[in-house]
Amino acid sequence: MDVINFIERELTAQRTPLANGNPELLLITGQLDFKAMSHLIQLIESRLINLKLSAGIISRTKILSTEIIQNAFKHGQFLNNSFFAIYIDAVNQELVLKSGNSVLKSKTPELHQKLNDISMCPKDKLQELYVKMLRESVNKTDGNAGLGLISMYYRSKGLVTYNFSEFSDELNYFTIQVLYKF
Amino acid sequence: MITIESTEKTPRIIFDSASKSISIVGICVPESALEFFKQIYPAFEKEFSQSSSFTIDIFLDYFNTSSSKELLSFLFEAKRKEKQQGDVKVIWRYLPNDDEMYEAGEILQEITELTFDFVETERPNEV
Repeated sequence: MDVINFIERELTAQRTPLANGNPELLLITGQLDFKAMSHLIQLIESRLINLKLSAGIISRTKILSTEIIQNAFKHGQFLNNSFFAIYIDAVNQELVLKSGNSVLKSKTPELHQKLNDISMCPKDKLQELYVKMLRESVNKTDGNAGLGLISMYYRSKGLVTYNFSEFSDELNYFTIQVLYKF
Repeated sequence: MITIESTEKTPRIIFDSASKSISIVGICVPESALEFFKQIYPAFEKEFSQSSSFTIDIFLDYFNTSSSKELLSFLFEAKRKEKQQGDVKVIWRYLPNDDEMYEAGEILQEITELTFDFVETERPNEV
């Protein structure tokens, strides 16, 4: 199966059409390019403005989209060809962000462990965890200790789900869904 | 006055010792936040070597977590200046109803313990 078709199928398998009949707010697939990120965020913003969502929801979506894209980019750096998809939908006062990207199997346990650790945090302690990790990150020189992932959990109040699917001998496909109510 | 011009991923930063102000306006999602923020310290030291009292006026449209980490480091540097008998104030600007960016400012205030004024504002022309 073509890799982009695979990701599209994974992301849109359970989608619910918008009330106006549009299949989704946004679905973009392609090869990952960090340079295109701000244009992608602009596109997301323009779609959200059309829905007349509040400035707070728009900012949250832009921040979450940025984290999702950067996480995919981080893992894409290890690959010759990195494919990526982002899917955003807004239904019944809920906004859903899903993304899919390839991850080296050798990098999967580390990512899985980080996500598992964060998911153990009680929902009402996620902001506290984010503040703690942000405070401690200042003195760290070796990355951000999963701060972007913690941000996703904190900003969605814990409504994050993820999955790893085997795609080839070397690659897994990682999908993550962040949901929040507005 | 020293100006670091904005790009599509980084904010415009103006250090102005005459008005005792530092202005940070725009989007902040650089590919490497560490590299981007590295360049602001020499400008900061050059303009504010003799001053420990100034205002940091911030409007961020959106940012990534690595930028919030580096912005926090910069605010800690400002805090160190303040401890030299100075007075540092942060003006945190956000759009009407943008509770997300308001909360982002509150978190920076909580961690740095700097004085923050929260000001609801219209979108600046340059963003």
